[in-house]
Amino acid sequence: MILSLKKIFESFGSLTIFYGQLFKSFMKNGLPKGTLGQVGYLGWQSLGVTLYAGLFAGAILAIQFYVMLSDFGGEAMIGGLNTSANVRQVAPLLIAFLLSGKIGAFTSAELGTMKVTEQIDAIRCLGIDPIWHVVLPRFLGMVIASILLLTFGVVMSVLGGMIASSLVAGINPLQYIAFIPRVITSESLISGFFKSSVFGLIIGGVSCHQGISTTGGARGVGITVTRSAVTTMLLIVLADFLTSQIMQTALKLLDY
Amino acid sequence: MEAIRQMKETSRLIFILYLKMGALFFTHIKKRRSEILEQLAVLGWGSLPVVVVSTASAGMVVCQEMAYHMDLVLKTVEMVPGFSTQFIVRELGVAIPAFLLTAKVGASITAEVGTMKVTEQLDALKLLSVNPVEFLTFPRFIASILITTILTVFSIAITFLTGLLAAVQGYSFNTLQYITASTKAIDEIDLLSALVKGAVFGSVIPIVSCVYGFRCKEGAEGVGRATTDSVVTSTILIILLDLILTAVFASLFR
Repeated sequence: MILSLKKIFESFGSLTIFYGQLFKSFMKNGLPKGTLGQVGYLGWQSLGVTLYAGLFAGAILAIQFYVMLSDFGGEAMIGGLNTSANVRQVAPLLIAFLLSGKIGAFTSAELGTMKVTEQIDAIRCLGIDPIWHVVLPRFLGMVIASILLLTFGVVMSVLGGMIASSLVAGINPLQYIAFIPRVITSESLISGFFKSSVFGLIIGGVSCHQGISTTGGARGVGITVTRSAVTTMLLIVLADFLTSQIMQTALKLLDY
Repeated sequence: MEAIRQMKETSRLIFILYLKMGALFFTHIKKRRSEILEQLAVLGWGSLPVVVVSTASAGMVVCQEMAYHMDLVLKTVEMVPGFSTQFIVRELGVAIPAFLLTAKVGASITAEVGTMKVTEQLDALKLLSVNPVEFLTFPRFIASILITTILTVFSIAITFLTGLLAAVQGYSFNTLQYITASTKAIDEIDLLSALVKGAVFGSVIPIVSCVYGFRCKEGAEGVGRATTDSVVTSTILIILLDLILTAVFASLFR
């Protein structure tokens, strides 16, 4: 118990140091080459999956809300409630789960393979900083791509909710849209975007960190990918809670 | 075109493995008891802390979000206990552990089986005339179904308790009042749907992971690739099945 607690603190500490290293390297050398390429590559290969997940997240939530609200005759409110819940909470969370498998595990497998086949050491031998040349473009690419993808996914979730509620609940799409502006506030949008950015930072940081600390051959890479997916998901759920608290406190401080 | 061909191939293999599991269930459940128990311990005990921590924070978030929306639309937070418990039992308490187990259990199965494939341990098993599907997939399949169902119940309980905590602390609900309103809001079908969803999601994870593990390509790169693909495919399948099951159970309510 004590040992595993110590391990958790250790890995948290080394993750924090890793974020510091990345930040320092970024401040010192500026934007690395190939960042845009990574954004395009990672973004394009995950676009289909993200749109799919957003569509289905919206649809699932719409059905759930319909079942809940139909007892009270509140079907008309589904559009607004579903969109608001998706923007603030559900769609970022669900899509971040998917992206932690798609983008995060992919990059940690890539970096882990480079590490175990000693390519990272070879780069270091050539006098090139592997953090700036190899890790930082992937980190920035992942962060930017996940924020963009999360935004796309949230938009898709509105569409998914509209389709599902017109199919299952028989709600006119126009009626669905009409209720949205009454519930969505700018603070909801800011909260959703803030959450997406934090999730992007977590996905990027954890998977790069796990990737370059891989040891051992094929087995090591497998363990790395598993660990990176689990750590990312766990941190995303915890960050979801923390960002909710931070947003609430911040809004309270601004209002009163 | 290549992607579509691979998708077809994968879905065919998943289908075949499901049929095989169904056939093995009647013949091998006693024979493989010790492996099943071992997998239960390894996979279940290892996933417990992750599920407990994450569902605990999810419960508080869901309660606060419900309160926010109810306050916005209905101008009252009176309905929060019923609605958040309904949402926890029907959706959240089932989906969050399933996604976590996809990463925890699924990825570790693919990594393990993939490493065995790459280091030719699977060939050694075949040489000893041990069928890898019976020896590796079947115990994990049974263990994963049991684990996911049990952890779903666990996570619903934990999410409910932390939601209760958040409601009592933040919105001045009475504990007894909250529990009474919650029990009124859910019925047997909700609990049944949670268990069915948990079992179905639990059956998806080992099948997909084993399919990708068995088809793992050479080297460290192959293992990494297979693990990533298995996590993504399981997540996609779980979302799809979630929608289907939600729609089925929603139509059962009427």
